[in-house]
Amino acid sequence: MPGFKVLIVEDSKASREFIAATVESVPGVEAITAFSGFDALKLLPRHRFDLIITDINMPDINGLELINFVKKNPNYKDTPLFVITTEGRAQDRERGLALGAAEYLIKPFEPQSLEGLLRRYLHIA
Amino acid sequence: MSTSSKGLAEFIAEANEILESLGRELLQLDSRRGQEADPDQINAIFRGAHSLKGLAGMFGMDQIAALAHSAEDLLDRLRLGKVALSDEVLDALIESLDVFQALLTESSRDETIAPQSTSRASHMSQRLQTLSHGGTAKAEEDPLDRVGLEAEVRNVFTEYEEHRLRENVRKGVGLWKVRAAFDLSDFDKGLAELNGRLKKVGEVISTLPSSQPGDDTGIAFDLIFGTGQGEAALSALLQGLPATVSSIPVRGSGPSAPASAPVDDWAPLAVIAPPVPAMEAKPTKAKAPRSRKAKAPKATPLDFDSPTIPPLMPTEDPRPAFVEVPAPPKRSTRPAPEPRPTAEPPRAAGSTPPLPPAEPPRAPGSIPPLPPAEPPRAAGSLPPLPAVEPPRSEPSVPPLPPAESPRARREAETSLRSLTQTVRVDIHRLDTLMNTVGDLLLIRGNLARLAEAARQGGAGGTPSKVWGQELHRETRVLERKLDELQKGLLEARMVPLGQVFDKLARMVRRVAREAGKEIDFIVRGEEVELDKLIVEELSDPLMHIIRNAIDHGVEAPEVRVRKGKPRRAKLLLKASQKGNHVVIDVSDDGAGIDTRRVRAVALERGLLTEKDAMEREDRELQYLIFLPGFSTAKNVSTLSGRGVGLDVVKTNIAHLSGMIDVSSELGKGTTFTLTLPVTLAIIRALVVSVSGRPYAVPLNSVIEITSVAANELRTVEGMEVLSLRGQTLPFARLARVFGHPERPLKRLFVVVVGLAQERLGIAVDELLGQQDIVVKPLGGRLSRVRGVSGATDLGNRRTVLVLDVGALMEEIISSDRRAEYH
Repeated sequence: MPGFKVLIVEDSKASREFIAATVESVPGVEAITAFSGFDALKLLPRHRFDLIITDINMPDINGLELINFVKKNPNYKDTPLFVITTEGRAQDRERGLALGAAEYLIKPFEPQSLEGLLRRYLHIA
Repeated sequence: MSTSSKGLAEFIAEANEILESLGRELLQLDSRRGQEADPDQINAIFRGAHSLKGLAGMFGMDQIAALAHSAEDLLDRLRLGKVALSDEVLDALIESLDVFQALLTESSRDETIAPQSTSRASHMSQRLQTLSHGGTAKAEEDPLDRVGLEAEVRNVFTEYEEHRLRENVRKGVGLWKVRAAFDLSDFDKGLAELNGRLKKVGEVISTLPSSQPGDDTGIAFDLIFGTGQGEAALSALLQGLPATVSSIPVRGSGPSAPASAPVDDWAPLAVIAPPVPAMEAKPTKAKAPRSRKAKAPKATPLDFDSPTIPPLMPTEDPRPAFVEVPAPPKRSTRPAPEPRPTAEPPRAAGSTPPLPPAEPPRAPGSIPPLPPAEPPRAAGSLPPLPAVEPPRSEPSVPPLPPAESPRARREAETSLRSLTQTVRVDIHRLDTLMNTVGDLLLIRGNLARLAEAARQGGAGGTPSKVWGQELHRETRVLERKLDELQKGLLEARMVPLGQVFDKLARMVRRVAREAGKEIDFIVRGEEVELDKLIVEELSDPLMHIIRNAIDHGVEAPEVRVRKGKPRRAKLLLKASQKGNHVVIDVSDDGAGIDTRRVRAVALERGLLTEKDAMEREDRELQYLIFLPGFSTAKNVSTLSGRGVGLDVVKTNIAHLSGMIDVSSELGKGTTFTLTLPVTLAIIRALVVSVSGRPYAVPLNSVIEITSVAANELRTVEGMEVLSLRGQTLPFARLARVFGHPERPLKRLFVVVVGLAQERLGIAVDELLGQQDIVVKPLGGRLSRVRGVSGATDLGNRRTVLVLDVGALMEEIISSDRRAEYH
């Protein structure tokens, strides 16, 4: 079974672990976590991620900036990216999707729905 | 969403942390009412509420999430400048923290949220919502449209960043794009340096990782920056950094600010030391650094090529300059792992829920008969045990005075105890423990080798002398290392008192406001550390004492003025370490204890006879306030001093092997002094015996051991006393205290114990030696035995009762004071 790597960028520890646990409940998927946008920028070149999940409100760079960075960089631009955030603001959602986020989930989210999305985007049966 | 108990614990811990830092930030804002608030700080508080909402939502804590949502909403409008920071807003926000705390407490106990909490939460929520929409939104032309920024850049701004950008435009400062390239491995340090320099002269509005394809070793950033400095000054500022500056055009007009904008009004507020959730509110002090770093700042505005002349900006930065700590910024005060509750060292001595049910001493025969205290010592004079449950069985609180104001908010103020069973430990402390364990493993290896040698060589003979020496050496090292390990573990359990003090500060503010008192709350010694368990147990008694001080000690402002005192009262909470003990003083400069009233009340309640009352000195009378039955709701209003439920406080402190003392001067104020051991977990004890029964005396309260001939004892007022180097000490025979048969001995061993200033000689039959013991609380009815704090196992399967020196001294010394008037 090919191993998939998913990057989770989330500054809340409890949320991060919750998302990681959900991600890893899909067989063959490994979660790698970053606690900030900067941390994510450092991790990106070190792995080949199959999918990225990011929060919007983070202490250093915001999620939109991260999406922009990922989507404009030829090395990562094809990596599907989900946003999971508390931010219910329509403007941020529009911007996130416009910048190239594939899915935009609002916390609290159902683990099953994230699981389903992961399977779909990673093509896991 | 399933919430495993581990997940729940995580949630509670994080939510608590958020609430704690919100409390700190809000109090800081509060202390600077009327001044311009620091946008960083508002944003930090917003982020806290925001994180809380997300967190609560994730864990299905709908009520907390809903309330957090309202708070977040209000804060959002506040930070976006749509609502002004009024006193009302600040009050509501601060008070909402208590509602959060109550909800969290109930969730943590796995209880369903009580209806009154629900209604309280929804009231608070409503209040916050009303405030968020009471503001006046100013409709004007959007200054953002004047900024010549590529849509590409603008599209990654969050609404908050847009707001900051707008504010900068409105102020008329120049906007710049600072491009900087760094090595990927340490860009955060480079950025921090860059941010540090920039923030001294302006505001970093946004940090965009550049979309320019770089290789895998480098990364570039665009910082959108607003400042009143000119290009030359900026270039000078950035000298030595891999950064270039380009101007972002802003179309003219708008309210162009005067060149001599009142810089000082803008000096942002200093920022609280510990970082706020996910937000580095850096102290972007505009004044000092500016004058230090950028030379002649006020002379520069004119070399600036922007159409408007910029006033200086509040230097402000929504992003952290702080990235070196390899932990989420939230936790950066102590970047340490959090041990799960289960991994915690054994708890001891009376308290928290997860304790193993105290093992009752094995043979019922070995329990000393519950002592209806001895006849001469006048059992009646000291009401046996307060009918109040000792704290260990009930995670909540000593009953507060039957609230005089029946306000729900007040009643709901239950406990300041924190909800987590976790202790954050400095990683260095854990490292030290690891090293010690490593050494222990080495010793184990050596011992195994010695054992093997003995097995092989010792076929018929005795082990050699060399072997014996080696074993001896290893044993000594082992002892030392075990000591280190023990010490290390005890240290790991220590937490600074500041954790409790912060919460108390919030309470003081609210209680004072409710009681119409004006109080400066001064805190000293937050850094003093105590065992986590003690800190937890301490919060409620302290809350009680402080409440009393505010409600009954401190006079109303007008009264104070009339008495020639400053209008604002001082309330000082001070902790200091004295050897193995921590002393905590709570002093006020209020009315003091009116001993005439105390006397009258004590007489009325039959706590004192007429004759006795006349003979007592003021200081002795003050102690009466600690008697159960002294305080009732009735005298709350009539007694101008204090005395609300202090017997409960005293009992709680006694359970921590501590003592409480009071000194007061009428008209000048009152000081309560709490003396507590630094740790409870493992104590060194002196093991003694009376009538063949062993007892353990905590060594930290043993002053000396001596022996006296039975005929050297004197009797004063029916009490035995002991003369020791010219000093007269109260004296008690342990056998009598616990109702054991006494042995007629010519010489008695006397263990002199002391706490604070008090001394007591305790006569025992034999001294058996010293030992480290882990005190386990006694369960059930045994927990009420006076003078015993718990039981311990000496390792030879013998259960030994541990003396509660504090309680013993109080019992004996106070019954002594009381003499007999029956």
